[in-house]
Amino acid sequence: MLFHDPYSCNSLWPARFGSVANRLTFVNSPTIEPDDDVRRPRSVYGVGSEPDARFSLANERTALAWVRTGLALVAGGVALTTIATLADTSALLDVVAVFACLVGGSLAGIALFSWRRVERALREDRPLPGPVALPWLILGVFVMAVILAGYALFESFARL
Amino acid sequence: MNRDPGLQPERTALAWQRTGLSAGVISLLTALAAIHLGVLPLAVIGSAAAMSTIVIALTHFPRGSLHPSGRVYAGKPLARIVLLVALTAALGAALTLTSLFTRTITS
Repeated sequence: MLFHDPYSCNSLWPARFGSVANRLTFVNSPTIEPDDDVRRPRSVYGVGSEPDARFSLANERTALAWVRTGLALVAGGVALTTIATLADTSALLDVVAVFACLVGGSLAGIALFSWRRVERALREDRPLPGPVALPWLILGVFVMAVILAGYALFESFARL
Repeated sequence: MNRDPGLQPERTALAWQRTGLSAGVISLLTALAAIHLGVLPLAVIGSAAAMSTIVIALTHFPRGSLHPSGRVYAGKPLARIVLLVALTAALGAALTLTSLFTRTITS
């Protein structure tokens, strides 16, 4: 899905920030009518009116931050299972690793879900919905940390 | 009225680059773990997924979410990256479960 962007440079990054900023400054209003809006999903972009670009971009960055958090959890799970297999330790670490991978994947899905809700609220000029994922993330990380700490204590006492 | 978005487009493009880079590296890590642990079908799938994730991350994500009409457009790229991350998470979970069962069966 490579669209023809006349302002993109040939190198992959950094992007042409100057042209990006110019194009998002609505000093000269775009002549594209709302009917020409082909952005999908229509359930998000088809409602309400165009919000301030800064709020849309901030919403997008928040969603990307959640995706990166999920990725970090997946990386932790994969590293944990690799270490557990190499060091031949108990199966409990594998269970924690599965939990970490699943929580990481669901965080990415929650990021998309939250982005849609907030974008619709921005377009309809409603108050923003509260955060959904944050308490679950904290709970999940806490549970994993407690399990791992308990296992480490148990192992260290078993070797005394 | 829409005012000057300032440096926000640049911040957003950088956020896309960070996310794409992290996704590429972590899918590569998962594929390498699958190869190392010797789980052949997951290793093949994981390597293919890692290659495509890296290619997508390098070609699509540095541009950010700019649409040819000049508007902010994040829906489809966001869905794409979430799908890639969910796939990586599923691969990681499958890898962990496989190693768990092989170890409990052989031990």
